[in-house]
Amino acid sequence: MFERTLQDLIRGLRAHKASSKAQEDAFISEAMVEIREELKGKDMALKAEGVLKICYLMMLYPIPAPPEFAFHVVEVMSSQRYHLKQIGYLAAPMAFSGDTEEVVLTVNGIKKDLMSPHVPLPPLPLTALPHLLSLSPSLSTTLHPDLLHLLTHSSPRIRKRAVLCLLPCWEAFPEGLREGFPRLRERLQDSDQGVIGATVGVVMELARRQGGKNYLPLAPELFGILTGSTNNWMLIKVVKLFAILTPLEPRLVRKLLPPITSLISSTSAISLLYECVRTCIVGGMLDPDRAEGEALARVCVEKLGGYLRDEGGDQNLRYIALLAMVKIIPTHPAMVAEYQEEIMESLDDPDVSIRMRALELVTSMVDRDNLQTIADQLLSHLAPPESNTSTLPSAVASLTAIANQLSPTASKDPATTSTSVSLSPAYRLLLTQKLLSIISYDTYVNVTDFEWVISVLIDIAYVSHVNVGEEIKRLVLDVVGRVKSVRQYAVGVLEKVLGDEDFRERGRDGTGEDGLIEAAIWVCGEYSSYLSSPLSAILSILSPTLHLSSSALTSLSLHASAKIFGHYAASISSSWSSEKHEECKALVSSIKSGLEPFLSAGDMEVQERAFEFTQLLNFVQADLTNHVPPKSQIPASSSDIPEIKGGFADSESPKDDDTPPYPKSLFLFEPLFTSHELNAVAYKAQEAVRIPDGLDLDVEIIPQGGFGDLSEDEESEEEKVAIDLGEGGGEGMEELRRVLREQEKRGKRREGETKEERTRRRAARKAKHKDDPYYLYDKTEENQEDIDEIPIVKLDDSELAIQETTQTKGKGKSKIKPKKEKAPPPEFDRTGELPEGFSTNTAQPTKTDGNDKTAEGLSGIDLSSGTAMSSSRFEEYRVDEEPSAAQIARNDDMPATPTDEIEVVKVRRKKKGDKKKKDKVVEG
Amino acid sequence: MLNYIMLVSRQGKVRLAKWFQTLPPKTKAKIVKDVTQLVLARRTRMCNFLEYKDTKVIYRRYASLFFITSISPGDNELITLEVIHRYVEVLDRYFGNVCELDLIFNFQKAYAILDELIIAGELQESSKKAVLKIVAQSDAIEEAEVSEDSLARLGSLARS
Repeated sequence: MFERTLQDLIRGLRAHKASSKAQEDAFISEAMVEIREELKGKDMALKAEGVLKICYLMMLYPIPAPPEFAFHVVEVMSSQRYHLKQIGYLAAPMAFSGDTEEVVLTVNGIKKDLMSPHVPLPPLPLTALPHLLSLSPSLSTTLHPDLLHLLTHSSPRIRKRAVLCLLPCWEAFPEGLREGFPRLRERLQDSDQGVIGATVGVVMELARRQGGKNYLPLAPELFGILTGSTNNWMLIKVVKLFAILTPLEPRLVRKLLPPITSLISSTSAISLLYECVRTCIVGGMLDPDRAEGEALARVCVEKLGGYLRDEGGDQNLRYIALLAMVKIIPTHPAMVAEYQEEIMESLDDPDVSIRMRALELVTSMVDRDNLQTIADQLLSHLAPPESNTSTLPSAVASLTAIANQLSPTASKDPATTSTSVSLSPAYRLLLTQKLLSIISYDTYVNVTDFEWVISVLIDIAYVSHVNVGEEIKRLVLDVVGRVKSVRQYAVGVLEKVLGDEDFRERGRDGTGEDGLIEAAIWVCGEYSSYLSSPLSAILSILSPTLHLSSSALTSLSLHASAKIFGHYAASISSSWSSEKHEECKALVSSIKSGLEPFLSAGDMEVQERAFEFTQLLNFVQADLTNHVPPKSQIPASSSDIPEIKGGFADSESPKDDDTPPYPKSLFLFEPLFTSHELNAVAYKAQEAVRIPDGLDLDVEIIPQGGFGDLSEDEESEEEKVAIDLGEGGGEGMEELRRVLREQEKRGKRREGETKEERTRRRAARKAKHKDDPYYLYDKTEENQEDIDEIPIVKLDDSELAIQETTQTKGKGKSKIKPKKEKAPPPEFDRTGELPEGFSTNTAQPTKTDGNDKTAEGLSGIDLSSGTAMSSSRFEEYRVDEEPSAAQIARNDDMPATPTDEIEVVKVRRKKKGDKKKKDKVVEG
Repeated sequence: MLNYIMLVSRQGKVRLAKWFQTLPPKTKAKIVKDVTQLVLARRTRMCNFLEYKDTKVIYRRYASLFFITSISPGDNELITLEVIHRYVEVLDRYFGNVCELDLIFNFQKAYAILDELIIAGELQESSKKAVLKIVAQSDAIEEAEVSEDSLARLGSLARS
């Protein structure tokens, strides 16, 4: 009989590697057939060889294990021969998957092997056990005592392995930790260094997973190891363990400082040095309040900086230096800043790992002084190498130049424009996001020059080639909205952007550019007074290629051009002349022709705006045509549009006879858009909006007793019972009728009704309404034992409050009347506006008031303090609501549930209203 | 703690894979594929660390083989490199100037040696000598058993 050994199989595979895939597959399937036979056979050696072959094949190819493979492995594991057993234990982790029968079958064999007096044997199961234990919690429970027993085995090799197996065992069987921990602790004093090392490793992993609290008592032993051992492997673990422990026990720091300082200065192993430095940082040993802490920080930073400065040095060390410096930044930013140059250089590194670390470090280094330098540097990474001079003046001036340079390369794959990996899309995206985040960090706290911000944002849109359009748009609008002084500049630059047809074309591919276009269109429209040339701005907004853009962009464009025209028309009135007249006429007709394609646009919004705008222009056009420059008494609106004639001419003409020298229709547009000034909205403004007078949201939509169902809840219930109890209605109804009849017998008095009866009555009512779609039924109520005791109204309200808070967060603008807040230059509306009459002073008392009431009303229920806090922000609702809520809570007979549901309706409706308001603002 | 250790050839063939964390086979296959791709794309003058999802991949190339391990972000990268190096040293001593072919044909030995060095993702024995001694002992037992078995088998064949 021919038997193919593992060697033969591997040789065969290698021989077939060169040939076709089909042949290789054929060879494998042939081999698998043979192996299956071998596995089924009686010969244990052959079976083991078969198992080994399967392991080899499974490692290389995605083939499924043959049926019953796990059982064959179990057989091999139970072989009498050491070397076969070894194969079995090797294959077990690969063959078993989960808490299956096979694992159960192995328990006894493993136990036997573990307890074998033959010393080479116990290590075999201990090798496979970590994997098996984590697969099967039951195995962990069963074998836990055996593992503990092995901790005192005479062979250090076995003790060591048993210690290491405890970690996965406790992971699957956490109860064991209680019993086993003292035994583990003993191992810290073991005679064998290897066992101590393994124990430290296990303690460290445990501390990392559960937090160090349980392991603080081990500090003396660990300290002994730290000062006594010379084994670097172990020292690293101990040092790392102390990094977890010191934050919990600050007194340790003083004790640890001498040995760690001496390790830092004496050790030749960089890995240990690095670990010590990291522990100093993470363990809070660099406390600036202590003299030695400051000195130690200096040493650490110098060591790390040395790795960075080391020209042509070890890349690995540069990596870890960058990694560790991120952690020093919060306490010692100035020290790290000394290495800014080296860190910046690391941003150029061809190695993506180092670049990522450098990026992380750089972004955490940002402050007021270096923001521009850092941002420019990051930007230069995004830009192609030739245009990496994006300092402030040149960035703006060379904007068009960059754009022109870029346009040809834009068609290429970004990754191919540079040889380095730096331009892989994922990295570019990350870089861009970081760049945007450092600029906008904490509402522009580090920004000193907002013109620079605008120019950088535009540059990013030009060079990033990644999809961050939404974010750029948000930032541009935010900055322009908050910083009044930057508006003129922004309009000037964005006007140029709009004129850049190439750029707009790129924007249509759905990458980041269209976000900037949208922002540019909106800003140019809203702040059209700053436009240098409204005429060309309108033309570039209504460019011939506009119809290729998305409908959202198109409607925005139509609206913006209307705004610009409005402003333009109003502004030329003061210097009215015959040239202006002609110019204006030409403009109107060119806008009209620009609008024409959209009159039949598929999108409703676009079409509507185009129509409105065109109709208004028709009027203006007619007025312009009929206007005669010298003072003539031709009515301004003798046009053929009757409906406007009445409204416009009649109101103006009689008032004064000296008609202005310009057509009045020039002022038709402007007032449409300038009635409100848009401002940033403060974080809490939405919540502080007062409810208008006369709006009582607590009025019940359905008056009490309006429905028959509700009347049942009232005290007048008996009357109804007396009249008719009805038939049918299911079990609940029967129950109800029974209860009611009993009451009737008791003399139609409900005074004597006990609590249980009342509960039952309510339960019955609930059951009745359960399937009634017209009855608003609160499911959460089911769990409550006594609904009367619980002010459900309040509960649900606070939940809604949270929802609402999250929804109102970050909403852009609102039309609430402005209450200006001046900030030192650059004038910058950082907080945003609040509604009139809102001041923190008035809010404060109500807030605490609300809190108190919450505590009183919800006393029966344990709510997290966070919920209570956020609900109390709605002091305006509270004041109105509180009495009724409290009343409901106190009055047992008030129907709690319906009121509650009605309130839900109320709040939703209010939210809808808010949304509408905001939508309007965004459009405008 | 190591999450896994694997040996991958320059052609992307897995030569050894030992997992110290329990993952479904699909996840494992994905990790092997992704990490192999990442590592093979690296150039020589780059650092030995990579970030993959929320783990760190520490790798080192020896001749045509990449030794790849994964650790959690808090672990010491440098010492992990040392662990890899220690493993390679032991392999080198055991096989005598080890090459990829040795590991291909004796992959179970490569596993056995790894098991002596690392258990449950922790380095358990830092001494090369001790590891080699134990592996040699187990080889001796195997040899004795194999010759015993083949004698027995010959005997049973002769009898039949």
